Amino acid sequence: MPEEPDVNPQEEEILDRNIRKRIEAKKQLREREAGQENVIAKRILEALQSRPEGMNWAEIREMFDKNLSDKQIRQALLTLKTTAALTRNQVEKNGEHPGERWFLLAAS
Amino acid sequence: MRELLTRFLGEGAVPEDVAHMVGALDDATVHLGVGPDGQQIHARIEHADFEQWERHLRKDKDGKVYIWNEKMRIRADKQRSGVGASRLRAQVENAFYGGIAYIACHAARVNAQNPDPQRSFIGFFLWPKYGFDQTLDELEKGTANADDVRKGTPAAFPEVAGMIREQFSDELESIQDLFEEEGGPEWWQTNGVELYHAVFDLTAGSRSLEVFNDYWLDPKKGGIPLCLKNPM
Repeated sequence: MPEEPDVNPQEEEILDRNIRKRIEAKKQLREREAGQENVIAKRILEALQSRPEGMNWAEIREMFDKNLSDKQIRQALLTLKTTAALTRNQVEKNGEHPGERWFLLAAS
Repeated sequence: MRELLTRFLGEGAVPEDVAHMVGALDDATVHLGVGPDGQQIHARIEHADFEQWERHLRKDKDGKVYIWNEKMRIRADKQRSGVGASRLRAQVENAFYGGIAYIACHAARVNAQNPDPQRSFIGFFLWPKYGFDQTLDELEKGTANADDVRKGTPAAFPEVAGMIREQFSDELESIQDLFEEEGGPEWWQTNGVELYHAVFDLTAGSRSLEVFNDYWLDPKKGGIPLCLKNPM
């Protein structure tokens, strides 16, 4: 048998207010993550500019603090690969993981 | 009964422990019995403010002990007084301290006894606001208990799970995730369906506890956080 909540308008208002706060907090977290992702992407680009032979995943991972997750770094790499706005150059993945290498292509 | 008590709550457990963990009021009479399958303890709670109040203590297939909130109906003249939320609070605090893994219920939308949409249930969108959750995988493939609780409603809702992923994000994993998306709660209120196994996770630091604690932190609710130490 389903259990129904017993809720009055004041309680419902509190619940809805809390939901709004959680939505806002999630939005802000995403914005912070996006900002951090740009910083990561910039560092990878700078490193690749002095490494024409490219870098593999382990070398890229080593550039960053352990507090930074693999997911965040991979997301930044993905953004570099797909977002032309960051640079006139492109970052390309050569080969499949774990032998993948990332390198800059010459500006077109 | 004693064997089930020991299996669920450990050596030395007494019937009063069950009454405590289900959040029964001090002046309630709690009738304990063994469920028809012999694998669960049924607690029927009698109190002047309630027409119906029933809780089941069970162990799931992973060996986790949980409380199934079968039904609670507050007498008409006592409804909307906050007694429902306060009983859930007592249950959460006591069950947490008693080592119960989670509380679960059927958060329904369709009222099988009265299909009139005006009389449909509200649990499907209100229980998540208190911290209850179900995964989108379970929504898509069905929960293990679906056939036990559904009354003419589908066993699973793959198209609803698909719409959530398509319209919001592939990364969403649960109804709580959806409720943290802009427009998510409103979408669920319009398009939401039965949650046959809505779970309030009693793991320390869980999102359920966080959501429910935020509710009690509101000044209008007294601003007193959940007591997750020994509440005795």
